[in-house]
Amino acid sequence: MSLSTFRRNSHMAISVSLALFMVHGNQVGIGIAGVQRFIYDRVQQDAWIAVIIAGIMTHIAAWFMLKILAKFKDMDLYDIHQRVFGKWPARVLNFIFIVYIMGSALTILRGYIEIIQSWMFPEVPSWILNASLLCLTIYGVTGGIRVLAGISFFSVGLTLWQLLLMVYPMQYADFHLLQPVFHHDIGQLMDGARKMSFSTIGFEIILFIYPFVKEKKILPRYVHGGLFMTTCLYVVVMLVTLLYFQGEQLQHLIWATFMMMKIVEFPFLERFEFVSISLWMLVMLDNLLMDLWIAMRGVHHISGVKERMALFGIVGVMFFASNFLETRQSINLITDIFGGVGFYIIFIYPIVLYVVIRLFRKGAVRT
Amino acid sequence: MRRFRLLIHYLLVVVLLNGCGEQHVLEKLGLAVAVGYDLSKDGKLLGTTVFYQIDPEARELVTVISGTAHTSKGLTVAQNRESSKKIVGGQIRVVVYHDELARKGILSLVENLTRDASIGSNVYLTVAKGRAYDILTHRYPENSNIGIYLYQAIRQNVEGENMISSKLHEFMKDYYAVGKDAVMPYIERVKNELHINKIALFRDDRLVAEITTREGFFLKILRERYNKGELEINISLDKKRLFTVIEHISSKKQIKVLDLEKPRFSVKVKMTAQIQEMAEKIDLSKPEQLKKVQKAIELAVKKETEHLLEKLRKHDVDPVGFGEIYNIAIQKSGKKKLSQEEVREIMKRAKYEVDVEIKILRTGVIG
Repeated sequence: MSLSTFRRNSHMAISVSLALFMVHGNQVGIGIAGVQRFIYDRVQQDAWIAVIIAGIMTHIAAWFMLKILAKFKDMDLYDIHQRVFGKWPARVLNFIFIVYIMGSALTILRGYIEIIQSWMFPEVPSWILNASLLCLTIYGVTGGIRVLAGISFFSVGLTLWQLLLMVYPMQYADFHLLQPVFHHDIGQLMDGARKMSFSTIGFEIILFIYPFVKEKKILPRYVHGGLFMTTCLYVVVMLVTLLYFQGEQLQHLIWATFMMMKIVEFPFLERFEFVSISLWMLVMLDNLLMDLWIAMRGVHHISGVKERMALFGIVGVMFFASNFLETRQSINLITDIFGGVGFYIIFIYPIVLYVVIRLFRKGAVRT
Repeated sequence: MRRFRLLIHYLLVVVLLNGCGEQHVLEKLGLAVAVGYDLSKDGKLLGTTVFYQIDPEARELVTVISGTAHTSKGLTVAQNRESSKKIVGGQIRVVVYHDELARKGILSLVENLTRDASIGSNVYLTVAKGRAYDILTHRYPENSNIGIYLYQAIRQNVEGENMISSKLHEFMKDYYAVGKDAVMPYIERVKNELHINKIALFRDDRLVAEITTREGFFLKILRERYNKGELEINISLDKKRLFTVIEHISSKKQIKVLDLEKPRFSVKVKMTAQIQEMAEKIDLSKPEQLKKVQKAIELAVKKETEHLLEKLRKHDVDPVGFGEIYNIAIQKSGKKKLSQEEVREIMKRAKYEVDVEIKILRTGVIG
């Protein structure tokens, strides 16, 4: 049995309550800035119902993930693959996972740089922003799991208060825009929820931090707590968006959330959206850190390269890939690809894996 | 220690990278405060920009420049050629459109304001009688900056509820609504003063009619709600015509569709107010007298509201949003959502049943 070479001493462990922030922090990223129009596209004024359905889906998928993890003590997904499928199939599966995780990190990185370029610094070349963000990522990831947990705690704490600013667009709310309620059938709603799923992805982090969590017995309640927080956040943002914008107007808005922030005005600070966009770096930074940490552990697991070297390799790949994606079309393309694939990897695959393990009773550690 | 050094290096890079962004030195910028658009004789756009100069040695604090081009961004380029300072749009507060231009449609001009991330959403849009150029370049001896003067005049009236607000984001929302039309304040220069005594009514993005601010009061009752409005109204009491002023009006409206086939709406308005002035001595401490006055005011408000609705239908505009409410009703009855043209066609035949209920809370400090 080759468990990861990371030593699991107590100083490497994280407190279980931090799992809530890691789940929530990793779920909320770039998607919340502009996902509204894609869901509106499918289910119009019922978009908020689709968001709730997507939230329920995350709870179901997380339940399966936790069930799988509980069967294998102290193992992460990479180890479980190896235990269940054997050496080579596990390598292939792990490789797919790594590519997927890196891809979603790439969409986050590229998406945020796109926002900075469109709103604040159109003349700054992408590679400078890329390089500075990736340097920060190297610094964070080499700090280890406890640094990641700390950053996601601060990321959530320092940005969640912006939810209060939704009071400003609510002053212009037009409740006619939600009517007629329940005007779509369940198929359309599910389609909307599937569109939403890419923005709720991120809770797969539990598959990888599980070995490091101290009190594993009470982990589920924190995971579900984090998921519930995310769902509430998205429902509020979606409702305010629907009330503030006309549907047809919303379809033209790439970053509807920032457009709503545009009307926030304080006597000492006009144009609050610039503060908000800058703060968004914290929101997306913990996504980036955790994704690259997962990828780093994976590369180390399948190839045996030292973790630090693996990280440098991954960051190098990310840097080049990110510089290739210059136009809005190419960014939309990768977002579509990884969004589509993500649904199957995060929501469907855990169920498949769970069924396989239950049917064949493979490799489970008997307690 | 190594990590500390890494951090120092990173911070150093961040500090140095700050120089890479475009610099905005206040002395080198022309902060646009008000922008005017006209139709020039050769069919091009004539743009006028009023801007602040942050220059302690300048004799005049305000500069006005103009230029012609085919697009609004082209105007900025043309105006920059005439200016020693870079014109930036972050402080634009008022946009003035020539009424001739507004009659031809202004969607592309308004939409370009939203497309530019540097321009805020809280910009007031107005229509001017005559050329915006004449209004913005005129010297007003009592006001040093026409841009700020105009902005404060509009804002003061909007916040005092004497004028319907038409900020950029509100105009866009109304424009995109199916079955609701936008409005703007209609400004006019009378010698050395600016008057806002009309409201411009839009059909889609074209100016089609205007109503007085007095009619605007009744439009605002139907469009939104009042919290502190005031109104001078002519009532008939015991076969005598007399004037009274009601203040601190707070109003609520309820619009329902009575009939889908022959479109018929019930418009219920509930108001509470305080009598501030009576042109004649009437003892208001007697309940039956007060009741009489109350009934008389109700009748007068109802009459004027009906008169306004008739006028709106005659001009084929719907700033109240009856079409929107009709559209919801038709969807609830199981039919498909109507398009803008269909709604407009149906609204031509609409009938309204107005019902006004006024509660007099106080009669000032005397009975």
